[in-house]
Amino acid sequence: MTTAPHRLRRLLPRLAAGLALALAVPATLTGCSSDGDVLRILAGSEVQDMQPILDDLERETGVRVEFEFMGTLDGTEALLSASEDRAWDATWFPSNRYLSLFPEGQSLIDRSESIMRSPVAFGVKPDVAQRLGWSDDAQPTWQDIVAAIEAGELTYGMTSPVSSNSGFTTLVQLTTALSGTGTVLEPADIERTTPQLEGFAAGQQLASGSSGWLAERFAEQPDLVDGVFNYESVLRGTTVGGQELQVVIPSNGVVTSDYPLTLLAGANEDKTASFTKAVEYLLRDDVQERIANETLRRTTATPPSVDATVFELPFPNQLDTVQSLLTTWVGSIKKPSNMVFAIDTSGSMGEGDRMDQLRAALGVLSGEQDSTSGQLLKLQPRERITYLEFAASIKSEFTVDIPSDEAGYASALATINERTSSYSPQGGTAIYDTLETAYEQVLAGAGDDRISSIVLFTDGENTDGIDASTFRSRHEQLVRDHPEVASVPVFVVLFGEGDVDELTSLAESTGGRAFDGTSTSLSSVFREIRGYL
Amino acid sequence: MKLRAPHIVGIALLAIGIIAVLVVQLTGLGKSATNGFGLTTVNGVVGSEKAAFFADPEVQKVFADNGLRVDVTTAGSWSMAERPGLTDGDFAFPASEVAAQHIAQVHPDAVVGTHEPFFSPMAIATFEPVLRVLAESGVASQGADGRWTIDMAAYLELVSTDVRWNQLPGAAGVYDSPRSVLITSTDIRTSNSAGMYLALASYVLGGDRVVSTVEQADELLPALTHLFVSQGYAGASSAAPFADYLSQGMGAVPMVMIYEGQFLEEQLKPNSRIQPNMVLATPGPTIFSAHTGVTFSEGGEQVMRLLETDADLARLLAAHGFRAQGEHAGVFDAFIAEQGLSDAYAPSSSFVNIAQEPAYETLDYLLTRIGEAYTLSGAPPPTEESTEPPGGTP
Repeated sequence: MTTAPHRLRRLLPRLAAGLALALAVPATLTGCSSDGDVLRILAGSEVQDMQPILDDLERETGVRVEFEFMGTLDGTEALLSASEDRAWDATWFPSNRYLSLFPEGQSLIDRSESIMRSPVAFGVKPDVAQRLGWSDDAQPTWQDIVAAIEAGELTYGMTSPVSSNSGFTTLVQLTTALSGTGTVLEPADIERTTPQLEGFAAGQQLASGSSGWLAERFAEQPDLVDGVFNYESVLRGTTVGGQELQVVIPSNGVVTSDYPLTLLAGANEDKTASFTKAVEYLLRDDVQERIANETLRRTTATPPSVDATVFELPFPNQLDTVQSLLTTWVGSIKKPSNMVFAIDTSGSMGEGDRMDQLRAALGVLSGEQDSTSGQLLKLQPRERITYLEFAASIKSEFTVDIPSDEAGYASALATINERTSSYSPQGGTAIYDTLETAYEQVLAGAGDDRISSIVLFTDGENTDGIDASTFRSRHEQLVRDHPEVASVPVFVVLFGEGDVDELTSLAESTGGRAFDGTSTSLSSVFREIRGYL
Repeated sequence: MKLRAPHIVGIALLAIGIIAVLVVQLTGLGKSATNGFGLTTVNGVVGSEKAAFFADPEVQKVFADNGLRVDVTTAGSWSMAERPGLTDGDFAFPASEVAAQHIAQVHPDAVVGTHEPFFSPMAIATFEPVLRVLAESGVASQGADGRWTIDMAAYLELVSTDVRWNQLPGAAGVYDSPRSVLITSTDIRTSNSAGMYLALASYVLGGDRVVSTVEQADELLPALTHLFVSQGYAGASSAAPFADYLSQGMGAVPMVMIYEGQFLEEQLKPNSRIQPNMVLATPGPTIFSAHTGVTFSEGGEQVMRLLETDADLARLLAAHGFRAQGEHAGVFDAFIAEQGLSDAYAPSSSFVNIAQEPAYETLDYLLTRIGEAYTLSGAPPPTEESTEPPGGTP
């Protein structure tokens, strides 16, 4: 029964709370953000478009949001492996579903509140939709989409299911719908669905590590594909060739991302109060209306349609289902990559720890990290990779086709490790000569059954061989002679004081993009790039 | 002036008296503590569905007018009995008679009394087009009073044969969903409203009889397990299914098992998200969630007595969707009539077909076995209900 000490123990927290309140009032009056008013949020890059609204959140409530962006799967692993004094107070991913499948994932969540919603849909060019007979009133099923691809009438772009939530969601909803069970997807359904998934994979002509970049690329090069899988909100805000996309929401269901703002367990009273203020602000009627207008997501200001136009598919409730789906997709279904790595080992690469960083980045492909995503990022059976080591000229080159059998796979990786570990920094830098060679190499392995790309790792300026403008005109000629080259992007990883502007514009002119390898570790940059390959 | 012995004795007595009062107040000996405003603070643990009611300033005012300040924390009804320090508080208030019996069994020496001041019928939040499709198969029917009923036996028959919505006659162009016909609920492992759904389904599958033996329970387990495990990822919050119903509509959540009061509370909000085609149907038979207060002190008793007898509280209960029992039993019906909602909420007296909860041991056995099925399938463990009121959503 009750004893006096119990009473005291219960009283103390109340006294403390009262005291905290008394102290909090003057702090609020001074109006300046203290540390307690800052919410450090680990987020998907999808919520970057909320910044103007978050600026007003700070103006009105004093709560400032500081983001660190990561992909959903990478972010989940970062959270699961972070120590108690992790660098984030909250998360804001398009969905908590993947995190919640981990037994320890749920205990990381103190509370969460869905702020807005968007299903992942298929944005198709209007003429293609018309040709296929798809419209708002006649939405195809997922089976219809696969049939159109198999008939050679449809190509698409999607993000990597390993790097980005929109690709991940596309894969889950596609497989659930194809499995034909009226309930939740289970591991046994995946094998049964594999032939149809293979038919689907054949239509992919464009890969991306982020949903934002996928939409931009499609808008810039509308001829690459017929449509892209992306958030409904992104698709509604994208025009291609001056025309709005036909948003296809397959009639047998999609999975909606619900953007839960999530307070992580262990938050102190200040952080909890800031979190509550942020949620209250974001759910206010006028702010919900603003979110709907500015980001085109669904909110309380856009009530659900009175008739059922979007059917929601169940999300798996077993981690095993999701992980074997991802493993099967990257290992045996997805179109294999055809990659040419142009690696600068000029003399300047000897500075600092650049060679170590380079080796660590290349190690991502050997599956040196034992995590789930580590296993999904490594080289996969059927992929082809060419290593071009260069300085003033090509120093070494070799190509490996990754075998499917275990012994062949191990020996291929051993060869790669042996060859790349002998790289040593010496000599000048012939960036554009090397890129020209890289295009020749990539052409040899290119084709409709592969996704081809070039990755340039460099720390320096071009000192030898042809210059940028010569390369550009030769590239244009190459595109005229071999139209398939137009879809081969160059991704540039810069990790030194190279000519940032010139290399960025070069990457973008090929449909690729440049990544900054100076401010974060090269291997984390490389993990990001892997989504584009 | 010189102090004489009687004075010293008097002063000493006064001092002892002051100290005694301080001790009693600060330590709360005798349970309920009186605070600076002359109110006695009473602490309770309640199911999250009642958090919004206790947080309502009007409710707090009625208690204050009666000298009480009622502080509540929320906990799942089923886990309350095992909650550390439960009986240090003044009362526990689960949403189930059986959960209350269990508390009394676990803490026999601490219980002062049990009360059932009000109840909530379980109901199914759904949509008119969905009901019309179900009506063609005889699963749903609309009475002359306009109120809809879902025949639970017929519904469970659809589930047992894994019928998809788009296979039902009349679904074409109305509700072409490829999903299996299945009611959405909260997580059975933590939430009382899912527990009531389990009790109801076991009663109907058992031939309108309360399951009373392990043999009977084992026989029904596969069908009962399917009702919950096949729903897929359940969301991290106990308020999630009804919130999804409101925000995503018919395509996402065609039917969700809730407390009737959740629907009413939303309907009465100034910016209610209930749309014209959203309908509250009654399962036939239905089952009552009997909110049962278990008191551990006189303070707890006072709270329960007020809930049973105070006319203002009865009205506030109605506004939060709870039906008072006893002398104010008519208040809910009068409130509904006033609001013009009689076509959606049946009078308390009209419920005749009511399922009963199985005994605690039977329900606990079913819950444990279904929980094991989650583990075997590789599903993650349940999320404990938040200890904070979930922002007004029960």
